Amino acid sequence: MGIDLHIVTQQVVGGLAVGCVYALIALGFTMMLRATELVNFAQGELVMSGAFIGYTLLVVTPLPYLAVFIVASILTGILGMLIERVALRPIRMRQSPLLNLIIATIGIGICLRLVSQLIWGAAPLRYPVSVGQVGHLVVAGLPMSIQHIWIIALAILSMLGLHYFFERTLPGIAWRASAYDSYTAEILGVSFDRVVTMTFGISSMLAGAAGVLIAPLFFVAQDLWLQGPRSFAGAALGQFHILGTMIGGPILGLLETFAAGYISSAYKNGIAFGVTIIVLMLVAIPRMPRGGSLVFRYGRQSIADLFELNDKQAARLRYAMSAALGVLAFLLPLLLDTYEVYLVTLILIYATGALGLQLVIGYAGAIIVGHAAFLGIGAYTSAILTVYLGVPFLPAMIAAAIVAAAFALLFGPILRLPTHFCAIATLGFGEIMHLVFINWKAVTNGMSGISGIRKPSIGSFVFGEGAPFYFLTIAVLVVVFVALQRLIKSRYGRGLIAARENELAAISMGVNVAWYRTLSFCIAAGCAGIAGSLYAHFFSYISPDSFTILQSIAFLTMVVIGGLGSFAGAVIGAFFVLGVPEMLRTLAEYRILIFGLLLVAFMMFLPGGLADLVHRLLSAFRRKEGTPDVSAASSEQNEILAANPVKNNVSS
Amino acid sequence: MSVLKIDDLTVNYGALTALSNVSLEIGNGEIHGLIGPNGSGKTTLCNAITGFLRQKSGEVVFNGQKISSTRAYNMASLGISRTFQDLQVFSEMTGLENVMVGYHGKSRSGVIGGIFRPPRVVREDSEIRDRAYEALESVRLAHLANRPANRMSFGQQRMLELARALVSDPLLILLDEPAAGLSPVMYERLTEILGNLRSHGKTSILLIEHVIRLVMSISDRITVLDHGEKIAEGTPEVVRKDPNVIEAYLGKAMKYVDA
Ligand SMILES: Nc1ncnc2c1ncn2[C@@H]1O[C@H](COP(=O)(O)OP(=O)(O)OP(=O)(O)O)[C@@H](O)[C@H]1O
Ligand SMILES: [Mg+2]
Repeated sequence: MGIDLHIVTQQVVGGLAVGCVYALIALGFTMMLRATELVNFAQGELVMSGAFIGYTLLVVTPLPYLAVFIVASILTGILGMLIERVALRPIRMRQSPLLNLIIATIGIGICLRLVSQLIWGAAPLRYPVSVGQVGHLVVAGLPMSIQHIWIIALAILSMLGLHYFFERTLPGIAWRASAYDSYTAEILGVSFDRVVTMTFGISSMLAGAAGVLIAPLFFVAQDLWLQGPRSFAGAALGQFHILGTMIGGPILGLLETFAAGYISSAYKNGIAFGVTIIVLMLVAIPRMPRGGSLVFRYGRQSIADLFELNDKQAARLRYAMSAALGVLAFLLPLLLDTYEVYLVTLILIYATGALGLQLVIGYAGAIIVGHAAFLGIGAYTSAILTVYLGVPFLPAMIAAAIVAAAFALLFGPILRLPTHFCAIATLGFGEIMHLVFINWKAVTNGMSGISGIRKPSIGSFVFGEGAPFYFLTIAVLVVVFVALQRLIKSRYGRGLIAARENELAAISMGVNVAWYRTLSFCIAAGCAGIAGSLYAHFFSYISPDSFTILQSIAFLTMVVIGGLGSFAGAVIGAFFVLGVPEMLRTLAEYRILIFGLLLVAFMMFLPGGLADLVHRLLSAFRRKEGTPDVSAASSEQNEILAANPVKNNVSS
Repeated sequence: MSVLKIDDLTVNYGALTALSNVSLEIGNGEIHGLIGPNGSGKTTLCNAITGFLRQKSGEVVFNGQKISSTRAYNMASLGISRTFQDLQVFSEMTGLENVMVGYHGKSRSGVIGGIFRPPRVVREDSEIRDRAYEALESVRLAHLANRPANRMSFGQQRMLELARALVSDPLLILLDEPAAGLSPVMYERLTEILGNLRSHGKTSILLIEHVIRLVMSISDRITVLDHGEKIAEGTPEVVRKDPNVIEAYLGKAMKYVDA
């Protein structure tokens, strides 16, 4: 047999070393889920922060590696606690839904990445020392990297430390009590707030330790953050038990190493995500539907209700607003310069995709962190059909929508996962699709991408650059917008919203909740597919880099900042997210930092998004006008009056 | 002919047997009371009938059709609807929308129809709206049609749930403690609605209730559960005098006195 024992040993030890680091990171996820039900999407960025902090300590101070390992872990732990206290606690205190917290952690992650870029630059740095000596130790005739052995030893020591903390120390025991039943623990004097802060502290410490351990194996750079979501598979394999995670991490490391060695190295980075998706689908799909509202709309009233318009007036108002917007849209190319038309067109393309995402997030109540994958699927489908097969634009665009929707259908069961698991699984889906775009060279042409995509044409009319393409895009956007708006007002839309509000009751009323959600996912993907088709023809060139996690997060930001549960909000959000950084041209480099800050700030101060802001302003205006606000209390009285008209007449 | 026939139903939660060999029959237009001490398995029975729990053994036949393996979301279209012991309304939706969802199982249109709105769908939608409004009127909540459910009082939300369950003209409706926590005014209203349903005679009701006065006065027949087993069944007069029932309740009461 061609198996070389030497190589196998090195692979096993290497896989275990990386796996132990995964275990440390994954322990953070597990602890967080046990104590708070939250998935901290900034966990990976904390790993990165730990690695950078360790780097600086090694360069600036004379401390030896071991001391740096400890100090950097502690500093990262403090960073984690600060994040919790400053940004997350105010959101939690507002009794916000889990979704808001998850989005805030995504925003914090982006901020950390960008801050690190400001401090340490974007170029990868090499650690000045390695862990232990470089070289090999020969055990029973088999060579093992000393560095790997050191990593394993330190990781195991850290885990033992954690074990000691849980078993022997008072805070550790209090933590376990709270994780078991926070309500009872609170009564017994274990402050839940303190437990949350502690959880962030410890899981960040573990992340920091992991960062310092793994950094010497790789370069230190921003993309180290991906180790976070990837390690999540370790926690999933360990069934989100502390001990299980300690075993799940190394198993993941070994799986990755051997799959990369014997199956395909191109997809190595996707293996962890595949594992996550599979494990979550097998074990974490809730068996019993749960009730309880997630409160997404924040009690937003429609404008018609706000101004107490009757149906006719409301229709007239809608008509007037659409007419005004239509005229504006029509005149826009005359008012703007070439670059601005180009920018607005691009924004409208993204907005088309964001509209779909709004349906799944805002109305179906699932979090999708991989929407750019569908944009990519649509773009590639359309590009391949038109460039290689000579299919005309319109059928190609429809095919793009259908292919993207088909992918969503295939991955539809993801939507049955609880919110936070759905977020991580779709993030994984996005990453896997990105790898497919890069590596399925026969179809996608790999990193070189596909070029020479012609401008769309219908019949003999070509939608060239500038105004023609702009009008095409806006026509598509309007069609998608109107379709979705009608859809959400339909029987299907009511069922979808009902399922978001109360799954149990919705099922009892005859809503096939799982299918409705899957369908919303397909429709969302279809919208992104259409947007992707436009995207491909707009730039005439596509490559995998256009469809990464960054674009996915941009989509998410549009929907959240625009306002969950509002299609108009999604469009406004697209203009805000892509337009505002453009206005601050000088800050172009930090565009993404702005996304991050915006996500956190909106979750902290305006969780209802821009749409909510508009409504707040309108209702303030309404109140100033002096119409009495029918408060809940006074109508309560009406209710009682209505119930006992006779008695009240007598007594008054 | 009976609307619902349950034969030897057994349901487990892991090691706990929540229902063992329970049989029950509800006739057309009958109001069937279901009583029993706390934790005796009443809600479990409700969940088993509506497909939320899979029974270990036994059979449930509804309207001549076996429904033991029917999915929960198909029950509404068959004609079974229910309310919940712990209020389950769609909090962010308005009163009218809440009740409109109640008609979901009896209506058909889907995504394509929703987008293109052919006359058939428009007709269906306005029919749903009209019926929902009528149902709201029947529980006297019509004036709250446009108020989100989470801004209604507890009693109003219970009435809303009732309207949502009634709007589809179900053959069988399962009411899980509808009177719990109601003010006297709302309680009156509830008995009135139940009385109306009874006089129409189209809808059969399985009424789970702790307010014995209500069950005794309105039920045609009563089944008593204790520790997951049926200990008595019959007309209110028979059940009232049944020594097993008295023991189940008094035994319970004695324990409370001791504690
Ligand atoms: N999801 C569950 N998992 C495990 N056990 C459960 C579950 N739901 C109920 N039980 C148990 O099953 C038994 C029957 O509960 P059930 O809720 O059906 O009683 P009930 O008659 O409706 O009581 P109540 O009058 O308090 O509403 C109880 O012992 C209860 O603790
Ligand atoms: Mg009960």
